[in-house]
Amino acid sequence: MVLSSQLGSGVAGSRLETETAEKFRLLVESVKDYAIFVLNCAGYIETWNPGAERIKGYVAEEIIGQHFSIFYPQEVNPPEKCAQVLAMAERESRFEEEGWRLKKDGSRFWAKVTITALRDPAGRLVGFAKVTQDLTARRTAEEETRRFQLLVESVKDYAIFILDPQGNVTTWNPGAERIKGYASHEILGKHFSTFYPPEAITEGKCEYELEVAAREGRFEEEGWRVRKDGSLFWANVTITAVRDRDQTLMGFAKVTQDLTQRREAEAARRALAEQRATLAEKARIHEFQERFLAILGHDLRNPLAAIEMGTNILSSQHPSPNSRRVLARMQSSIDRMARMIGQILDLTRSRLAGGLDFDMRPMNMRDALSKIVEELLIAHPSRSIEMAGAAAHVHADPDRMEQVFSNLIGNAIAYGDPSMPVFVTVNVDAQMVEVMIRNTGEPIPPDLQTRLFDPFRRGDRDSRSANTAGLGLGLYISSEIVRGHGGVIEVQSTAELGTTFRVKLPSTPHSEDGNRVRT
Amino acid sequence: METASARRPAFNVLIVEDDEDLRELMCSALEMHGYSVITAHDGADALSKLHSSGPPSLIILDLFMPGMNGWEFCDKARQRRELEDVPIVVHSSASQPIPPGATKALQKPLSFERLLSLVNEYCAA
Repeated sequence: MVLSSQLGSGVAGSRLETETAEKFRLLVESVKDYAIFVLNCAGYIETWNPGAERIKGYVAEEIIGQHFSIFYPQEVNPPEKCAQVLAMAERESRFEEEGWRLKKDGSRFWAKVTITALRDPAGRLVGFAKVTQDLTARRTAEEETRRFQLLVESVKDYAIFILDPQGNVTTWNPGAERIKGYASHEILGKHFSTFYPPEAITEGKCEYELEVAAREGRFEEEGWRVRKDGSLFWANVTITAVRDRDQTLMGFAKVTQDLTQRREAEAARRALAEQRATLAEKARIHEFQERFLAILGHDLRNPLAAIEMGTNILSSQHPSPNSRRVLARMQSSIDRMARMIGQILDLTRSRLAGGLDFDMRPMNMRDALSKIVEELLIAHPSRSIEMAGAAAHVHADPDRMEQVFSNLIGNAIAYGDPSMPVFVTVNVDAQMVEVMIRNTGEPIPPDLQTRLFDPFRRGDRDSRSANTAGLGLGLYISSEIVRGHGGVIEVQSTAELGTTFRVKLPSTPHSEDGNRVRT
Repeated sequence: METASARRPAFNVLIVEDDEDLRELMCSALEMHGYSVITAHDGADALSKLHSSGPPSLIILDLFMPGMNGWEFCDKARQRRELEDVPIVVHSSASQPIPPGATKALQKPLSFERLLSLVNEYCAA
């Protein structure tokens, strides 16, 4: 280091002063973090140190003798600025400021500058001591902090705030306000246990969490937290220990996320998946049952068809009277069996999920009745059936309607007075089609009337009805069919008036020309 | 271009039915009344027999059969030129929907009289 003559060993003279001066020289020599140098009264640089070299970039040889205005950027008008600075330092003994300074390579750095007037024992100004500190790093850090603060300020989806080492809230952000419900002035300074449910507080959760964060650097969990209004929400919480360069605990950074929406979405998703699984299972069961019934029907009906075909063939080959009687009995059993198989399948299907199938279409009830009446008259040539009433248009399954009428009119023939006709009447009004089937004769006992449409119900057997008594399912299935069409079957039975069954179905309105009216 | 008369039926009735007893009874019953009958036990068997014999006047078709069932047979048969117009009467225990290509559906058990009148209707025998 080159010293100017004014600070040389010649000024004081004594050995102690020389030693002290030497120590100062060593001090200045060793300092690398500060630029410490001397200006003469006019501001020209007389000394330099390693700190100055590091901070400003010049080596001693290049800079000694230059004016210190070289360090100032153009926009401050260096000559004027420097004159002001020195004047103030002389007047006030000291000048201090922060500002931009230039390095040798022209780049800027943020400097903290102190200029001190140097006076001899007589008080005469002999120069200035200039100490410059490079605060760029600190300034950058300050700017970064400011930027980070702005970021935290803008985040609304996360509560981000700082706790002091005891756990009191020292900062707040819009996200915290939104999630927890407190405005910053309401919560700053309060302990963060405010956000915890009472049970958690008594368990000592808050202390525990801070302890873990302090020990391991970080604590994270999902749990219930409390809003200002007392409501609970499911939160994801992270507590991070904040330490300075010496590892001293400065506090904690807490980030909280409200997971309520996510939980609700997950719950909804799970419920939907369960629902789908249940529906899929139901569909599988239904499909299995359908196939089972189809196979059962097939397996039962096929042998019956073969037997029927066989008896028919034998009948056509001119059998003897005895053989003919045998064949007639066989045919009668075949008919019964066919009917029973049909009824069992219907019963099974109506009891299982899904119920009976209907092939609904527009039809005229009279056509179904006429067909059944004709069949029954062929089967019972000695009986008479009187039919009255006009066309009755409904939306129904024709085969099933025939099944119902076959059952009801067949019953009327079987149980009614054989010397009297069976009366079939069709009535139509705006809402409804009603088919009445009436026979005279012994009434149905009252206690039986209440059970009439129950499955497996058997009526009294006598010689006439033996052949028509089946499984006791006929009326049950008829009522299921009518109900499946949105209608009802009713019965009235007295000694005076006989027995009347009424089948009522909603009608489809028709215009005069028979076309279906759309409602 | 083929006309309907050019596609003269080669025989009267094809019975497609997997139940052996029923199939043979129906066949016997019809043969006794002078009709020419070919039988098949499932759809594939039926198609192969049709291929070698030519078209019938009537096909009586069961639906539920192991191997190729009635629905599939109907579908494939209708794709064949020579079988396009052959009447297919479904004779089934099923209350299932009948194939789109079928002409008519009759429920089992079919009485012999009905079978005869059916065959009479479709065959010029």
